[in-house]
Amino acid sequence: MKRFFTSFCVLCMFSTVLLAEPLRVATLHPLLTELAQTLGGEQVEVLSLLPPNANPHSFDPKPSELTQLQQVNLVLAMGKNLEPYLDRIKANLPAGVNIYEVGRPVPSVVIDPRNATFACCPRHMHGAVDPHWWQSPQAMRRATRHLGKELEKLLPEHKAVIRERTRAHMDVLAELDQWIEGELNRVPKRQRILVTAHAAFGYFCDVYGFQALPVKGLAGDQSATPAELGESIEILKENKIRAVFPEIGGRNHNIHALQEATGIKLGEPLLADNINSEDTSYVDMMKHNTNSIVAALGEKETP
Amino acid sequence: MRGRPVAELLVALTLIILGIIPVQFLTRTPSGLADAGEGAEDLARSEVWIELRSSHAPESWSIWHEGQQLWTGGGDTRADADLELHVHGGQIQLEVSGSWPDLEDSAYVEIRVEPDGLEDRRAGAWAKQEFRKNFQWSWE
Repeated sequence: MKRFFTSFCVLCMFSTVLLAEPLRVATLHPLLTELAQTLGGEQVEVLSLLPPNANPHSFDPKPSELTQLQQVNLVLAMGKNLEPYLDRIKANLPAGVNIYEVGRPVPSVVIDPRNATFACCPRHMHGAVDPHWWQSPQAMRRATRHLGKELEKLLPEHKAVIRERTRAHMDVLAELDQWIEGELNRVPKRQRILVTAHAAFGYFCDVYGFQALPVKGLAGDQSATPAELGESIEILKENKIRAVFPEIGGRNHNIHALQEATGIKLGEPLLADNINSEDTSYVDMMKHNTNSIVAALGEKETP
Repeated sequence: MRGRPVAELLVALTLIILGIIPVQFLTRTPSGLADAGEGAEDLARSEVWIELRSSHAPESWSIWHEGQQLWTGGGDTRADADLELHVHGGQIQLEVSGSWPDLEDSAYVEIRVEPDGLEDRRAGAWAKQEFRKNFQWSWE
């Protein structure tokens, strides 16, 4: 009887440990790491493959990283063709483990063919879908809701707490959206032209009524000819552009040359593809970009 | 009575035929309705996430679509529901009703719709103690 009781207790403890084991989630972007941890809490264990400051367009997972994926239950990708290596990841996943593309439910913004010359990489040129959907908090809010549902399906015993966290985070994003809208009210309509080092702000421009200006020769992987730079200077002058924005961690050499040639203000560098440190949250990133845009293009506040 | 089976058969057949005609008339699909049915097939059903927010918690509020109440709730300043709606010609029409019996001033009601694959849209209106309003959104 004693032996039976001991075995029963051991079995119970073992079952509890098994049930309490978190969902192992691999993420392919630091913003997804933050999102998975926010919604999943202690019910998820996150393996982050792309570090802050890394370029998601050129990231190539190492064989050792692919091996680590053997231990996960779910892979979160940004989607919209941001990660060209998804097929390699899929080939390395155990049976039954899926890649969930967090950006999939977000309606796509197509890169204006005129802007193709400053697309992030050749894959996103010629009228392709802009993969930088996270630049809109409204898009992030929709993606959050859908990811919450996915996590509820995978962790049905924690459905209530995941739903609660999802709603709380959606509220944070709604507040952020309102805050950005309020701040951008200081940017007059005629100044709502965003000249950046690469076409990563299509969703932002779409939501907040900005125009992404096509300026030739700014794409980092293209060397701008003097003629292209000359054309860009003309476009900036014609549109009475007040500021151009380099990118934190981006390839900005042409934008600096352009700024020097035109005397146009250089805005505080923006965060486009990635956050720049582990301490930077999504909200921090969006607030930083908004503050930078308002500082460069906004009207001075009247005291 | 017994000697006229053919006549009885004819009478029975006549009665049956006379019976069939009105029944068929009553049960046939009128051509106008058939057209409406075909038109209804043009309506795409879409999964739509709807979020309601109000500055004051309503006692009750409901979402109506094509004359049917699809969702009802109350007691909170926020609610959301996944509903399957008809998107006709790129348009969605909804009616929101609500009741704030203790409301002294007005409540602001905001509705946001997120159809799968389409941009989200939102609209708002001021409500008194009783509220019923149509909302319509269109997508290109």
